[in-house]
Amino acid sequence: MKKIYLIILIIFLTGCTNYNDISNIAVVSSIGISVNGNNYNVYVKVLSSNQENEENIYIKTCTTIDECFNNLSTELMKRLYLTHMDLLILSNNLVKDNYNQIFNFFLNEKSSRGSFTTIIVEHIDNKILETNTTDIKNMLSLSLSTNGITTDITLTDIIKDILNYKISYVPFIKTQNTINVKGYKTIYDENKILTNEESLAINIIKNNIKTFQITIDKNVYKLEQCYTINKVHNDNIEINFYCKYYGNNKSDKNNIENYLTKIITSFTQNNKNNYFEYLLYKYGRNNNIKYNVNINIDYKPNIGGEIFE
Amino acid sequence: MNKEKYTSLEIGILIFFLLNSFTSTITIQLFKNTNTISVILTILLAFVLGLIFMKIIVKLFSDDYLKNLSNIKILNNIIKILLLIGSLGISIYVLLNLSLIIKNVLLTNMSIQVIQLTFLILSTLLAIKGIKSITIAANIMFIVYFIFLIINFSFNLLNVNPINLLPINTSIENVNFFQVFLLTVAPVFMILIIPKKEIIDFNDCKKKSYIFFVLFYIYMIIKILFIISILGDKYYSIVAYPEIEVLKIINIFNFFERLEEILIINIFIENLIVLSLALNYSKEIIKANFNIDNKIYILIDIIVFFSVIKLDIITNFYFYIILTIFIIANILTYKKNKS
Repeated sequence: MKKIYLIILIIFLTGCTNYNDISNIAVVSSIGISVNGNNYNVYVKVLSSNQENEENIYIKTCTTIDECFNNLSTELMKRLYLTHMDLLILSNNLVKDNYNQIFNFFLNEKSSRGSFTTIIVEHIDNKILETNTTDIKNMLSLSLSTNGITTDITLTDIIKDILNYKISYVPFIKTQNTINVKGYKTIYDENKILTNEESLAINIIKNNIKTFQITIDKNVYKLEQCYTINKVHNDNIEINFYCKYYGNNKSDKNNIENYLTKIITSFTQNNKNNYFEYLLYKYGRNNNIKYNVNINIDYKPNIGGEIFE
Repeated sequence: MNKEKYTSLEIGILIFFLLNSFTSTITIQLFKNTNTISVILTILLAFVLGLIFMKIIVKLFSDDYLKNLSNIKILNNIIKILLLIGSLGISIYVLLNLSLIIKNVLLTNMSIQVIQLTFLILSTLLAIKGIKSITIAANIMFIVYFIFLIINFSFNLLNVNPINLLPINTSIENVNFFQVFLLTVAPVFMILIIPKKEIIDFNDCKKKSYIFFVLFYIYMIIKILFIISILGDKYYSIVAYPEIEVLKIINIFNFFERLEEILIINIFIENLIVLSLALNYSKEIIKANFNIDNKIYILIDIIVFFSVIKLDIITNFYFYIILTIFIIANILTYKKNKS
């Protein structure tokens, strides 16, 4: 009897029942979504099986995102496969309802993983779609280590932020002549493009920064080994930021501390819909929140040699 | 009956797998739309209730568990039918949950019946070999399970955000401790199929059973809070399989990613062991009345397979009733032993 069982098992384990030819699958590498009136414009970059033409870009216009993907699938006569997708590009003109539909689509799509980088651009054009995803990811990580303004954010992070705090900060990119990272854009409850200083403040508050450099009065200061500890006491929020500064002038320490205190204080005053407000809302307290910003820069004299002219 | 001897560690590991039968599939869903304090309270209450029943399980061990269930002949047959319903119910639900996970996460285009048949045949092949072989397989697989568990935890440590577990001082809601108790403790009654005389040191076995019981509940509380601390309570509530969602976000140095397809093997292991045990248990119950050989597995497999196909109309509520019936039927055998 065991032999009969084994024979049946072997038939199922051959994989013939789930056979899928590679030419019947359209492997999606990135997706762009924008809104035009009541219609969605969906841009899909598909990896080509043809060696000459590496990637094809398809554009579909329809009333729902699902419809666009169904139409594209019918047109290509292939099943769209999102597991290898690594970039989602959203346009600047999306609103709360559009985001709901986008999140629902990716949560319900079984082949989607949610771990792809998500960015917002002013206009979705061929330039951004043709750019290599690795280059965009490198730009984002470089902007964090140089100016400290953006970081690589996945769709899962955004959904988690929106479920918890009703707001998320997504990297904003401009593509006029060259592709430039411009900081964060708040989405969902509030749609606002943040300045470089505000974006830096968010990264400090969320403990995203480890090494970065700031420019104060044309002087560039490099800060290293940075971390943030946030404490909540009743309605008081204490933001403690620690960093090491290797320099030649001790007075620079005060300059940096004053500058960072100024940008974080101004961010908390001007952006009432920020991360902390919603965190405290979770605790059931949302009135008269007071912020206490402590910037601690540890000055270390530069022990390297001096360069003489 | 197999004349091989069983060590207390083997029994302990088997108890761990039986306690873990539905953790990744049904139990994990019970902690949705709740908060940290409710999770801890639910597991603690289920633990206390489970500890009482573990004492009963240890006392129920006997040499002729299935041969002479009750002195009254009619009651004897009724208990047997109830035990059969319980064990078949457990196998059906284990198979259903396992096939649904594979269908929804890994093989989206494959027919669900093919997945079910593959795992059913694989488990039957193990069940044919007998309870001792299942125990050895469970022991070997426990090492693999443990290694993968450590990988899962260590690779996800960087994603932990303790702020997701806050606030602690909130109202208590959705404390489904009775369901958690049923889903964890009821399958453990299947361990009684092992005759007491075949356990090398029964006193040590008792001790190991309690140790593995406590270890399992510690493991469960850490696992649930670990997943909530990574996903956040809101995201945990909207995804279908939070445990697999946690595996999906593993990314170490942009090199170790998309590991869920390997790490999901832990769910296969825990379900395969329980499915084989449940099939073997069903066979032993039928065997106690009729002198039959392994061919009865064909009938059991047909019953399980066709029940799983028709199962979309049955809700989990009926499953809890089946588990309660299974526990009651087992407790009824205790009265006989005492008399």
